[in-house]
Amino acid sequence: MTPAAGPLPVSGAELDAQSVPVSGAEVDAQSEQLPAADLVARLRGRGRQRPLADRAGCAGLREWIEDELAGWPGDRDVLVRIGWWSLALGDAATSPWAVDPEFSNHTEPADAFGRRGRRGGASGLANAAGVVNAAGVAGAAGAAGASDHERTVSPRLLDGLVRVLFRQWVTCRRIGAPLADALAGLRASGDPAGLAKEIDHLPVGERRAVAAELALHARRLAATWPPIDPRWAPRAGERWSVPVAGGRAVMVGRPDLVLGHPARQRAAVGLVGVTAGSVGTAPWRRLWFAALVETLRSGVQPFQISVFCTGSGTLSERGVELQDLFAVAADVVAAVRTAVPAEPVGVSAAGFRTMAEPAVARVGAYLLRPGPAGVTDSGHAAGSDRSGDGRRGSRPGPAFRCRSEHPAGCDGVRVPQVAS
Amino acid sequence: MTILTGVPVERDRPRALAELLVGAPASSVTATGVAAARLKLERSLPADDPYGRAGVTLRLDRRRFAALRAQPDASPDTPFSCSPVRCRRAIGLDALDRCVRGRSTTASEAVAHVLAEAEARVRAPGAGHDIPWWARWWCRLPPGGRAVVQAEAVVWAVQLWTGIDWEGIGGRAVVVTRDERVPIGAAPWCRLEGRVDLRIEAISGGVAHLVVAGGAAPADWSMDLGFPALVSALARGPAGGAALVLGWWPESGQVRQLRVDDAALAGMAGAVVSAAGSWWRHARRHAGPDVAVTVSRAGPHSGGP
Repeated sequence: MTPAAGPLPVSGAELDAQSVPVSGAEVDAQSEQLPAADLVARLRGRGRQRPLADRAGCAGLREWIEDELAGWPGDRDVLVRIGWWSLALGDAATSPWAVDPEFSNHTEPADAFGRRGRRGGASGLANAAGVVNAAGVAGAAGAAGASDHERTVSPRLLDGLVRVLFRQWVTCRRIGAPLADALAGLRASGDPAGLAKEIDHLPVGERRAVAAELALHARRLAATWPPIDPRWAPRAGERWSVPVAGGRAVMVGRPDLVLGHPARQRAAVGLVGVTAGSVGTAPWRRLWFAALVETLRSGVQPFQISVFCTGSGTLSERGVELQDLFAVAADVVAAVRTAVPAEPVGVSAAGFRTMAEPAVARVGAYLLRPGPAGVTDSGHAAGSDRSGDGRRGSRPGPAFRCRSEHPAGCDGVRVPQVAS
Repeated sequence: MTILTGVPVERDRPRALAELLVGAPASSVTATGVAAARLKLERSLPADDPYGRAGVTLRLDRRRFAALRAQPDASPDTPFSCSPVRCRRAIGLDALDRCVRGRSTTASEAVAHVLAEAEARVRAPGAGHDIPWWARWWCRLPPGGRAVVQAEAVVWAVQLWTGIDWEGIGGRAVVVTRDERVPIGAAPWCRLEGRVDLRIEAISGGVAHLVVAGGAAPADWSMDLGFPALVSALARGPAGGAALVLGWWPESGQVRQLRVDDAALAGMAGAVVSAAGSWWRHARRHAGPDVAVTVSRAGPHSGGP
C-alpha cells in the first residue's frame, strides 16, 4: 500500500471568519489566489508511477463478490441499493442510512446545529461524529447544552452544502452568494436529503449562522482549489451504479470529483471527496466504496482517492491497491448478508416493491443491520469475522484495521491494511 | 434476433466499443420484414384517438415504452418537467458534436460553449424557433441551479468523449441530436420516436447505432435497443436501418449489443402494439363517457391490441 501522506496545508491562506459577509459574499474566480501547484501535483499523484491496469485482478474481484453473494436469498421483487452507508457498521446508528447525508431524512434529522428533537434536546448522531466550529476546526464538544454564541453548524448539513458548492466551483469557477447558490443547486437536484427544506425552516438567526459558516468554507474553497485542466476530464457529481448478485442488488457510488480518462496501460482515474471538516469516517468510506464501484464498472481500479477539507484547506490522499478493494468488498458482502427484508407497502413505477416512506423506498426495501454490538467503526480487529455467519477463511482480502495515527480532519478513518 | 451480451472487461474499453461499432455487419433486414412490421402496427392498433382528439396524443419514445412495459395498467402520462438529469443528454450531445467536428478540444469547454450560445439565443431580440427546448428553462434558473445542469451535461459529454476511441471510428460517426419520428398512418394518434446517440457507417456498409442510457441495463434491455432499431427501419427502410445496436450504460459500465433482423423487427412491432394498446385502453377508460369512439378495426375489447 502506498504510504499515507499527511494532510499538508494546500495554501497558506487563512481567512478570518469575521471578514466574510454573512450573505452576498462575492467569490469570483478573478479574485482568487494563484493555482495551488502543490494541490495539483497531489491530485496527479505527485508524479509517482501509477499502478498497472490489472484487468484480470479486477475481474477476479467481481467474480469473488458474485460468488460470495451467490447463496444470498435476496428477493426477486426487491432491488437492494448498496451504498457507502452500508459500510457504516458501527456508527451508533440503528440504521446505516441515518448517517448518510443523502438519504437520511427518513429519520428525525438533526437540526442545523446538530440537535435532534426539540430545542435543547439531546445531541444527535451528527454530534457523535464531531462538530465543526466557526473556524472549521474539529471539536469534541457537542452542540447540546452549548450557549447560542458557541453553537456550531451540523457537519451533516454543512457537508451537504459544501459539496454542492464544490461542484459549482469546479464546473463554473464562480460562486456568488454561497448559501443561495447551494440552496439553488440542491433544489435543482431535487433535494434528495431534504437539506434545502431543513434550512428553509430554520429561524432567521440560525440561518444566518449557516450562511456565515458556509461563506467561510466557500472562501477557503475558492482560495485553495485551483482550476482543473479540462484535459484531465474533470467531472463533478458523476454517479455510478453497478448491479451485483445477479441484478438483485445495485452498488451506487458518487464521488464529488472524478479526474482522468479511462485507463489503458495504467490506472488513470483519481477520485476526490469533499468535506467541510471532521465528520468521522464518512468521506473516506464514501471514497473507498466509490473506488470499489469504479473498479467493478470500468475494470480498472482508480490510482488514488483524496479528501479535501474546506474547514482546514487540506488535502489527504491514499493510493488504491487491489487488495484494499477486496477488503472493502468483504465489508459490502458482510452487510448484504445481514440484510433483512422490510415490510413492503406498495409497488414502485419500476415494478419494485416499495416502503412506506419515500426516503426508504429510494434505498431499497432492505434494512441493513448495524454491526455486532460493541464493534465500533474503528474497532475491528484484524482478521475478525464481521459477517456474523461464521464464515471465516473465505475472505480473500484483509480485514480493516484502524491506524494508530489518524491524519487531522479525518479522525477515526479505517484504512485497509494488509493483515500481518 | 441475436443478442450478444457484454464486452470482455479485460480489454481496452474505448477501443473495444469503437471496434464493435465500426465492425458492424451488413444489414440482414429485408424490405419484406420492414413491411411486415409496419403492417402489424397498422392493423393491430385502433384507428381512433381514445380522447376523441385530432393529432398525436401518444408519443411513444423509449422512456414511455419502458414505463408501459413495466406497468401496463398505470397511466404513464406524467407531465414533462425539465430537470438537470433530463437536460444533460441534449446539452451533452450538442457538446459532443462540437468535439467530433473539431470545434472544441475538451468536453467541458464544449458544454460551456453550448450553454453560452443558448443563452445568447434566448437573450437575443426576437428569439425564434432555433432555441433549444431546454434553454429558456435553464436561463431562468439561479446560478446554483445552472451549475448543476452544467455539471450533469459535462459528465454526460465527458463519458462519451473519453469512453470511445474516436480515432478508431474515424469520420464514420454522426452525432444524432434529433429523434427519429415515425407516424403510424392507420393510427394517427400514435407516433413512434426513436432516439439514438451515434450513427456509424460500418466498414461492411451496414449501419450501427449507439444508444447511451443512464443507470444500469434493465433486464429487458433488448427492448430498449430494439425500439430505436424498429423506428429507424420504418423511417429509412431496410438499407438505412441499423444492422447492429450497441447499448452502453456508462454509469454501470455495461455494454450490450443487439443484431437486427426481420424476426427482431417483428418481435418489436408486437411489443409496441402491446404497449400502445394498453395505453389506449387506459386512456379510453379515463376519457369519460362523452367521448364517442368508433372502433373501426380490432377494438381494445375484442381481442385487439
